[in-house]
Amino acid sequence: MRYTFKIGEELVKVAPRSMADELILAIGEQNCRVVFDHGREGRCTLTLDGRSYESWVARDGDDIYIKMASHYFKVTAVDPRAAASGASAGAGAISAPMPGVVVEVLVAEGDTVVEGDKLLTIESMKLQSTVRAACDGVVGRIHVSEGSEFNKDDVLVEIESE
Amino acid sequence: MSAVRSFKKVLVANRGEIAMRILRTLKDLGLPSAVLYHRQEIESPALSFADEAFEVFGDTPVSAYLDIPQIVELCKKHGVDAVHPGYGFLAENAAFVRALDAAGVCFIGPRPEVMNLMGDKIGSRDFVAERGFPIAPSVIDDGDEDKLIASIIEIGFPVLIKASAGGGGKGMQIVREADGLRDIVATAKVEAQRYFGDPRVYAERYIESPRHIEVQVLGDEHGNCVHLWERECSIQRRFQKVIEETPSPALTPELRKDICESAVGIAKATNYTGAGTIEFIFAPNGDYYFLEMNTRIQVEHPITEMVTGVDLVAEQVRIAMGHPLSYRQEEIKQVGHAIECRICAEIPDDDFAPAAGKVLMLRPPVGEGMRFDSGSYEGQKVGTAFDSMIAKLIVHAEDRDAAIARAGEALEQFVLLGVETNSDYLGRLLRHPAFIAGETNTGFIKDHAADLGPDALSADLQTAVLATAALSDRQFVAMMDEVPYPYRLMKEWRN
Repeated sequence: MRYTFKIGEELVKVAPRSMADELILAIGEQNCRVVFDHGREGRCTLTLDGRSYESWVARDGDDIYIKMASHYFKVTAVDPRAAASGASAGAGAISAPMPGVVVEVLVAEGDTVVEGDKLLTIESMKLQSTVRAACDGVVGRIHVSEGSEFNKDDVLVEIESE
Repeated sequence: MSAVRSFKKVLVANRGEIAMRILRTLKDLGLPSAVLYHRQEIESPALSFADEAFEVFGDTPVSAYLDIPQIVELCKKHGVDAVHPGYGFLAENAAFVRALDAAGVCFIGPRPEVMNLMGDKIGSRDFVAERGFPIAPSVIDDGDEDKLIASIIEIGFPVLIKASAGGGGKGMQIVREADGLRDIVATAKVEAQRYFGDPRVYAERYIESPRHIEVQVLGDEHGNCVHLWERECSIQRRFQKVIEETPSPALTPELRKDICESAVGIAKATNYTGAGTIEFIFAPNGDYYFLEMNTRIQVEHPITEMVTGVDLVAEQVRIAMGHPLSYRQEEIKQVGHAIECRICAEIPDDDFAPAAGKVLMLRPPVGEGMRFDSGSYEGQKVGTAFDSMIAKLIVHAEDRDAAIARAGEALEQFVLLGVETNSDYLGRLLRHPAFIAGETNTGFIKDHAADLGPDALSADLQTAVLATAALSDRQFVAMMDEVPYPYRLMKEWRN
């Protein structure tokens, strides 16, 4: 699974390559060895291929604000599922990142959720993963139930943001 | 002259950083305080900092702060006997002063007659010129074209010609020599007629690359008047000051004495009471001309406080109580160098377009010789309802180079996340060689625009920013925790 981040006008894909002994992130075309410390009160330290970067970080939804090396940056996380579902589904529609089967439905229609809450456990390519709420809101229609099979880009759950 | 009085309750009829600034002094003076607020500002720190807070209502937040009858009514209802207007809003509104007078409430500021006199652009110029102080040579068209041409030549070139009835930049032009002057004036009159329905034109000496230099003054009810030296405010965008400093790098001791004494002379001529500022245009050859007088405390007053050690707001309050000034002229020294940077919610690289958003993180700079005046707070929604200035960063050091370095350190320490500000840009201004050399004028930002663009950032830094962003993103981290990657599984199996 890859994530896309927008910095300036540029879209860059970031994906974990290895999480075994050390974390390796693929950032764009580059593989980087990464150590990250959240620190306290938004003060973060990143070591990237042996070089150290201090920063201040604050998040608001998909927007991540960073002050690093005397400069300010705004990076926006672009949800691949929202991006993949395209114009047919609303902003709160969560669609399948890949074909699979529903293992467990963890919410009911009408539940209030916050961004990041677990909605479904799915199994794809013999691996289980969790589908999470991409925004705060109320669970609208749930298009699947336990055991449902789905295809890539099928809408699984709709979240109505308030 | 009236007797010395005290105040039972002082209302700050303002908001944001200046409300906080005034409240701080009221506390120091041991005076009970109150502040106004509009519903949009319910979380402002000024509300809890003041002893009391009164809500003002209006269709827009700004209209609430301008509602004279409502504010006067609040004063009567809550036993307020003095009002500090801050700057902006009603600070230079003579009708407000008269309404407070009628209600028996003291306005902390000058008398309304002086406010009206100095608030009138042409009237104040004439007043100043009649008393022998320098104004830029000018001529007003009375319909006699030959006389006009002769007067323009007498002013000396370059000359700025504009429509008498005009505003903005329409029909304005700079003429550098007498050749073709008659044709230019004829064209200007046609344009003035077309744009403003009045063919008369106005001409004044055009000062190339001028500096903006102003002098802080204080006057009391006992006829005392002093200056607190100058401030240079040449770094401006859209006629708004961005960086101010004192002393001005342009003034020799003789010129400084001369311009400060002129300012005191002008203030004395009006029998000025309270804090005021006389603004001058300063030409590269050392000539200076009266521009206008601001009859209020100014945004940039802290740099004067830093170099003189005088609390200007405390002096305003004491003067309003009828006390004589706390300082004689010779006691007011200019020590070291101070710089103020205005932090604004704006995008300098997009022609200073205003920015909006929510303040997610705010870390003021802390250190020797650093002062941070702000009414901002985490969670604050910055919109376009008010001015874009959200904080002021002020530094003081032993000399100009040290003050520039300290301002850079303070900007480095300062963190405001969630709303775009000009803080990167302020750093670029401070680092510019022409600024460091003291070669400033009101065209600085335009003249050096090419050098003041965003720094080119290394690819490594962008990669570090993206890694930090990804590892701070809740979903990205959740995805790493949840998705059982083959590499991770292999490690778990080995265990």
